[in-house]
Amino acid sequence: MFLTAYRKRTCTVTVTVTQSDGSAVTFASGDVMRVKIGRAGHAPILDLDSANATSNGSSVSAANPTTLRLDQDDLDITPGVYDIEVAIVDDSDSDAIKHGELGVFNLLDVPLGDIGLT
Amino acid sequence: MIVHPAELRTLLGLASSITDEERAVLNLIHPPAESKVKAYLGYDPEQRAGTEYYPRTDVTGSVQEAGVWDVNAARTRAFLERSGDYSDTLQLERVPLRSVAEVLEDTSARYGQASGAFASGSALVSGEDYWIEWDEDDLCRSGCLIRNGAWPLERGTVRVNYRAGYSPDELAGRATADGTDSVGNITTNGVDASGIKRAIYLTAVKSLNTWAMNKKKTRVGFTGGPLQSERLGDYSYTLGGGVTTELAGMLVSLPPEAEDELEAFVNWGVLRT
Repeated sequence: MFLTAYRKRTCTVTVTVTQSDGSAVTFASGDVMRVKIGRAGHAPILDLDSANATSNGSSVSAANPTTLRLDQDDLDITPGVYDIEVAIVDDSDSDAIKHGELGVFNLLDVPLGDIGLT
Repeated sequence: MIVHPAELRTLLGLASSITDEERAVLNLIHPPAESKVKAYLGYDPEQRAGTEYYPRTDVTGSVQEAGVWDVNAARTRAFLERSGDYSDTLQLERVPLRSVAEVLEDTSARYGQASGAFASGSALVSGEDYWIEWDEDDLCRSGCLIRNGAWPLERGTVRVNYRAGYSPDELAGRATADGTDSVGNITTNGVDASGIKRAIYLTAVKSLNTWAMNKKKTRVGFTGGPLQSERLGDYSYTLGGGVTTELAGMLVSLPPEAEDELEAFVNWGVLRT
């Protein structure tokens, strides 16, 4: 997975977690989708789960494929390359968190200035 | 880690897809690449706070040794307080120095293992008993503390709790404003420690290329040596040997260009005691 986003720009993508044979992983009621962005081995810069959105509105939907929305205020971080992990917390397996994919999240810098309607 | 896996993958062209074997190889070569760089620098450049004991070597050397007998603060133990030539400069191991939480001095402390070591009265006052050799606010490249008078000669009699090293933004070459992040990392505008990251990139890339040259081929038997040329018509190939093979033998080693990147950041410990 290689995801490119832009600093202080809202980004919405669809992510599908698949089995090794390419079929989508079954996402059952009670399961939680988790997306973490940051540096491996450190606390994540952005830690999302399908149970709650962040205060800025970043969210990941409770489904597979899932809709990942990264709000512009949550993307006001230092541009660069980060790790991004998608995982599923399996409600039927004692809430075990199961790794889906460890990819690359590339945050590019953009011109500053007004970002509102005017 | 100074370089995180996503950065390494991107540099190696493995960002959008990577095999399990490639992941495993990166997992093997990345930590040693970082260790090689830290060993060359003589310290861990990632900013953190910690406590260390000084002096670390017997500084008398060729100095005329003398001393006076004294007792510890609790008056339970006598010790010889050595004197002679001395230094007013204490150089810390990790650089650059960003802040000092406390400096304690107790000439009978024995690295903090003596009873009553570094008691409350042993704290030195910043700006009076010692001061930091600042280059600018929150940045002391030399890591030197200057004493009003002299630092003790006895090992393990000075305890320093300090923060030193480079912030993630400084290591990325993106320090465009002063600030302190949520975990306490201090960033100073204009400080560029990206050479350390580049050294790790170069070491890891070289290591991966070495692995690729030496990995077992899918043909029958194991063919050693780097592939120097290959021709499709009347198929033929040439393998390198001799010096080339020897150079490729070290899986993780610091290339000369990485050493060049690190020269500016090495703590030579000229003054460290």
